[in-house]
Amino acid sequence: MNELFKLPERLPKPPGKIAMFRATRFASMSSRDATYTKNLAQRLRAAQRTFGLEGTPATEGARLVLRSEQVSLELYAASDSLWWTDHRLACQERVTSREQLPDEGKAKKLAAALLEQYGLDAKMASVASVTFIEADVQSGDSKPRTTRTAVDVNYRFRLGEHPAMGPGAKIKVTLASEGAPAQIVYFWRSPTKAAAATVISATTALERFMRDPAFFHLRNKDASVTVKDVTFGYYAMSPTDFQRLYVPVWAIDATSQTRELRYDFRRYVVAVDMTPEDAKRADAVANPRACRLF
Amino acid sequence: MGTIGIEWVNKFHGRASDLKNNDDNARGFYNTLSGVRRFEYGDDLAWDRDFEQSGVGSPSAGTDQLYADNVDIVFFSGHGSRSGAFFGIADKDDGEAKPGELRLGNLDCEWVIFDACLVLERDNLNVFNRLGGAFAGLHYMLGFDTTCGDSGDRGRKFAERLNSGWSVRDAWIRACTETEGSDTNWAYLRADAAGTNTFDDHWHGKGFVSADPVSPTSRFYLRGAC
Repeated sequence: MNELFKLPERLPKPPGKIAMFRATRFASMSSRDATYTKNLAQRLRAAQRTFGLEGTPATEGARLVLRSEQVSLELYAASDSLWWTDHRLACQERVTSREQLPDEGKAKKLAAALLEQYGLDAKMASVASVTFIEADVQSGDSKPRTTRTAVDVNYRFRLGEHPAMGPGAKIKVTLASEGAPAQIVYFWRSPTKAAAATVISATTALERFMRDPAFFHLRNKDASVTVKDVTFGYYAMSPTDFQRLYVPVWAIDATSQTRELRYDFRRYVVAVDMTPEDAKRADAVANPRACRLF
Repeated sequence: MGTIGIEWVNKFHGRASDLKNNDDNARGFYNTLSGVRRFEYGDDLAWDRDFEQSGVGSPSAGTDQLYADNVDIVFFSGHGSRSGAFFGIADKDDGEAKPGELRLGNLDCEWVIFDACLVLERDNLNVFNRLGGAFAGLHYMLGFDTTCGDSGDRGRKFAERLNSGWSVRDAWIRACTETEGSDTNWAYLRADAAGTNTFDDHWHGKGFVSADPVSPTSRFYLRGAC
């Protein structure tokens, strides 16, 4: 089995005891829970004031959605997340204005100012990348024309000294021509410290990774799995999902190679020894079944 | 009312490492989207030829007229690369729905989703040469420019938004953003022709649906960070 895997020569030291972080302060997210429903109503009123959208929201699954003709505001019931979009400007294929997009430095400044203006707490976040929404248009068989239609300022959060990972911990501020705000994606759960826990070593995490049945059918002579990086962090689930605790994880970045397919992937190994039963008893996440390796 | 098909693969028999969540992902889409459920094939019953045009490529065993091109929307969940969607078995054709073997929309299909790594990789604009020929009435191909995670619920999130009246492109971008970190790039390729407007496409019964761009005059590729 081990011949299949190529591991990095050096592994990060385990952080030892780490703080756990609660991701919600509510015992229940039932509509019968007065504390929760009051808080959700307050969040809704605050968001309506901030973004200037009136009316009664539609319920779409785990989201409350307000729409005007061109603007939408989504409030996520299971987390402290929201998504505001001006659909005239976000994710467009053409640029209507002759003005240019802000450069990277200006985009960062504008994004920070917008977050402050809208009262979105970014103290635990920092800019991780500035990227572009790129549209390529091909007429007939001609050479495609490329246009950058918006710029995304992408933030990542940290919990203490460690990064928050996964889809539920990020901010994206999208700016269109002239720096016009096009979109704010704010996915986060306000954390509070919980009891400390001991973290398994990176070596133990890799042993668990190598025992993953996903690799059982890979034949050694044809196949390899090369681990490129191992990083400790806290996993944040999708903003639509209930999560009581940020999950401490070792994130393993690897490349799988067979004769037929080579691909890069990331796998998370839960970094505290908690069985799915423990996770259920702690009410840590909505579905603890996958709470060892995912 | 639209018709829906899904194919998914978790077991790759050593052709690649196995995956865990593609059944949940595709079934979440299938069981949530309003419409007529036409087919579901998983693991060894999911075949590359189901997406390929009959008589095209080598081997030329395509049967999309029975499957992918016989529904309005088809959702694939599994491995992928710029060489196409990757399947668990190779004995029905060659185990890969290669871009050059795709001709969708000449029968029924409007939207195909490849919830798999890199099928829609921009690749220095080669995406147009690689996948442009697949559009024979097809409106959209939706997927990823980069690798993506083994999500178990992206399909359901996408379907929920389609049901709620979001446009097809917005629904896909939002489902991807809710399930991936910002290192991942969502992407789509769409076609238009004289008298069509696929940009504003919605799911059947939920808003405007363009006429089919049978002979596309323009193709549009868009990508962004999740």
